Amino acid sequence: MGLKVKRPIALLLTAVLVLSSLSGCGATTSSKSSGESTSGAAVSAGNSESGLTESNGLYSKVVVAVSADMEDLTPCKVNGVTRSNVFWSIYESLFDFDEELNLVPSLATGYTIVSDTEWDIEIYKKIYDSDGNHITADDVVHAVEWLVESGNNIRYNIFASIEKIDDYTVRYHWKEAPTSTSDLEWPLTRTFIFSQTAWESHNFAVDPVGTANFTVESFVTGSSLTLKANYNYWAQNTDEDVSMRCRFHDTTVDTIVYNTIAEPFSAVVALEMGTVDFCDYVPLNSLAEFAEGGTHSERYNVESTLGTEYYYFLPNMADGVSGIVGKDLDLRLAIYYALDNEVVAKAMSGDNVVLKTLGCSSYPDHEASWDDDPNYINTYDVAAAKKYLEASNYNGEEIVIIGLANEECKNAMMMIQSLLVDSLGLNVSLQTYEKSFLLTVMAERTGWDFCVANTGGSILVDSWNRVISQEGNDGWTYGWLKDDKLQQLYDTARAGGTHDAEHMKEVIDYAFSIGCIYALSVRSSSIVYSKDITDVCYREGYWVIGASKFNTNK
Amino acid sequence: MYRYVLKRLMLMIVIIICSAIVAFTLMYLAPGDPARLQLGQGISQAVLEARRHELGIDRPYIVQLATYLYNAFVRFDFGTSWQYGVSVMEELLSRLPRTLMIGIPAMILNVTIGTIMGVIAAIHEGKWQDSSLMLLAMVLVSAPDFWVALMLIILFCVKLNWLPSYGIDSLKSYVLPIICSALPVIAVNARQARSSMLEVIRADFITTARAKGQKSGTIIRKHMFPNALMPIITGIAGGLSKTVAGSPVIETVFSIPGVGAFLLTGVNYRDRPIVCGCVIFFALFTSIVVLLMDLCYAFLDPRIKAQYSK
Repeated sequence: MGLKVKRPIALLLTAVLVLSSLSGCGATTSSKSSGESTSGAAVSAGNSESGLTESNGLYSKVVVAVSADMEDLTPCKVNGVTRSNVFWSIYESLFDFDEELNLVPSLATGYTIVSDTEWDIEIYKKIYDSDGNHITADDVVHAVEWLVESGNNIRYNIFASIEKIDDYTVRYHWKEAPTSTSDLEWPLTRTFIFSQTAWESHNFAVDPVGTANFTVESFVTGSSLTLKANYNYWAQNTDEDVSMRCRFHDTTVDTIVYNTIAEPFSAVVALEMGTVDFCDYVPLNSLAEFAEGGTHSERYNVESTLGTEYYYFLPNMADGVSGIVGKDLDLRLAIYYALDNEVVAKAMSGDNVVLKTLGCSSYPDHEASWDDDPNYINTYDVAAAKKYLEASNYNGEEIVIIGLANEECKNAMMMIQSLLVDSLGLNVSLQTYEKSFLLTVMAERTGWDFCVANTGGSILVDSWNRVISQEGNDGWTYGWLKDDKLQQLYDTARAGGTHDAEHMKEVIDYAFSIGCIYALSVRSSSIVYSKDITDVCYREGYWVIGASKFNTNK
Repeated sequence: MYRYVLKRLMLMIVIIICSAIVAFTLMYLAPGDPARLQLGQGISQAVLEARRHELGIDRPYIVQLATYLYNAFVRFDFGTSWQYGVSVMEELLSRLPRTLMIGIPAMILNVTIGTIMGVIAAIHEGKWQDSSLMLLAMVLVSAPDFWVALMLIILFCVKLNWLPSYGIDSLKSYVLPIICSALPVIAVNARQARSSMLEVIRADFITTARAKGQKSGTIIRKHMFPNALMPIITGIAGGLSKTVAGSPVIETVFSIPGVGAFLLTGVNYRDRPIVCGCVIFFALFTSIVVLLMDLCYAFLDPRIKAQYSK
């Protein structure tokens, strides 16, 4: 055969080889999926591999779609919502909050109040981490001190120091007597305890060792995290009384895979294909597919809950850009009454629920009757707005509204601008920033007049920390307000013995009387989950997959 | 020639150090406080200062820069990511294969298909083949990769159930990202190859070859194509550099933890070790590719080789 013939044949064969290997990928997938999945949709792991593990009665595997990468599993990085869910499956703290926000034992058996500023905390004697290291008071001291030294001691306001009393007892020294659950939240329920020995031999960022009921089987940053049930979980093997511990330490599933799928569209496709069992960021316009009567309702449940993070519209009570917003209550009231909160909430996204007071029913300490009490948040009154504007000293100064550079926030800002320009003819300009930069701009007294941002917390009074309390910003609120009466009312409402509806209402009424805050809306979050999950377990508003109940009779 | 290569290598070191200084300075000057971003709102100034100290960003600029350059170029340590808590170099190397898994096949596809399309269009200049191929190229180059990705997901994942829509579980996970990455560049390469070929078609030596009675296929293979290769090689070199940098959009849509997504996270979180580490890495790779490209020119064109030897 001549060279002229050989060459084209060789080229043709190469092309066929390349094409067949590419198309072969698809063909294999297709045949595998049709064999494995009842819906004929599954391609990779997920629903198709889920089911019961016969040997131990645990559900075998659940695949969770998460919108944000876990990035770092070091036990101080608990700011992200996704991380909170995951961290609680790997690590444990001394105490937990139950549904009524009481402290209940986790690694600690209880506490003894030695004096106003000294608490002795005793831990269980037979705690072991997933590496088999025995946890003692030395480890508790090490974990707490490491957190403080690493500059991650967020909201450790009243914490002074910690010392070892004996092998299983530590003493917390407070700067002042703890007065509320929020004082204790970070030192006692958000500080994860880990073994010093494990810390020195592992890189916890990617290979953490905790005491909780799951261990990290694999972690690919940016892609997936696989947790495996810890069959040597200390609380299951101990002869000590652990009956006081909360339900979310139970183990109901053998393997949990958290797959990072940043795009909501891709997450919806993954649910449709059956490669994901649980997702909490399905866009509102796709929810109907999974809800009762929808195309995929046979395989999924939908559960909607109000979130605990809400958007606020905060005036700068210092100089600002205009120089008058902080000084002129009439101008602020004019602006508030000109805002149609419902329209703003709708503009933000279909998932946002309008607020009618400074908080909402998703908080355990919120009182429903507050919503009906007339205020500038639940009253849209252009006539009143114009009256206040006439009484104000406004002379066409530019009012600068700053906010987060996400779609939700930008939409809110544009709607607010439109309402203020249309109804009152104000000179309003907008500036959006990424989160890191927004905080820097807010830290300037002169760079902005109003800010649209969000806040949250386990309880409503905690969510006011940034906007009402002067503790969050070294003696100022985030809106650069220093008001002793407001701070006093806030401290009272937050303190253990006086944390009730009456004192909280006093804070709200006073805040409205000085016009220092306007609440916009809260996002309702919907979870879509496989029908194999019969009861989703929640902890402080966050879902905990590893303790949820599964259909084991399938 | 050796002296030329040596000179270029020395220059490469200067370029990489300069890139590092520029990247570091830009990140230093960039607005936003990494410590505040990590800790969120509602923290005291003391905590913020402690975190800044931990990150080393409370020291003077020159001290920070000198420390970084010393670590990067003397100890070959790009630092630990503030956001991920892992070595930047290790994380880069672990992500690079995934980016290359998309980039290299995509480049092979776009170079071969793009060049073939360009050659066919040039040979049939003004005819229906030329018009239709260039129309197709125009459509491909105009379609945003995000939109193309969504359309492909709908077709191959939702409708046909052939391929997974996300992840890195198997080789088939890479098929759609490869196609998405290749399509727009195929169009660019096709247009590039067409214009290069058209320049050569009008050259005197092609007229001479035709006058001598050579067959059309021989003229294309032996005379036109080698002479039109120069801009195509330039395109390949550019493509190689981009391949290593990855595509944040494609990687995000298909949830592939590659280099592009890594750099994007670094920028979003003001994670200086990530951004500087990536920039140094890209500068090194691009310099090597450009050097190799120049050497390729020398092999293809004796006139350039003669210049290098001077």
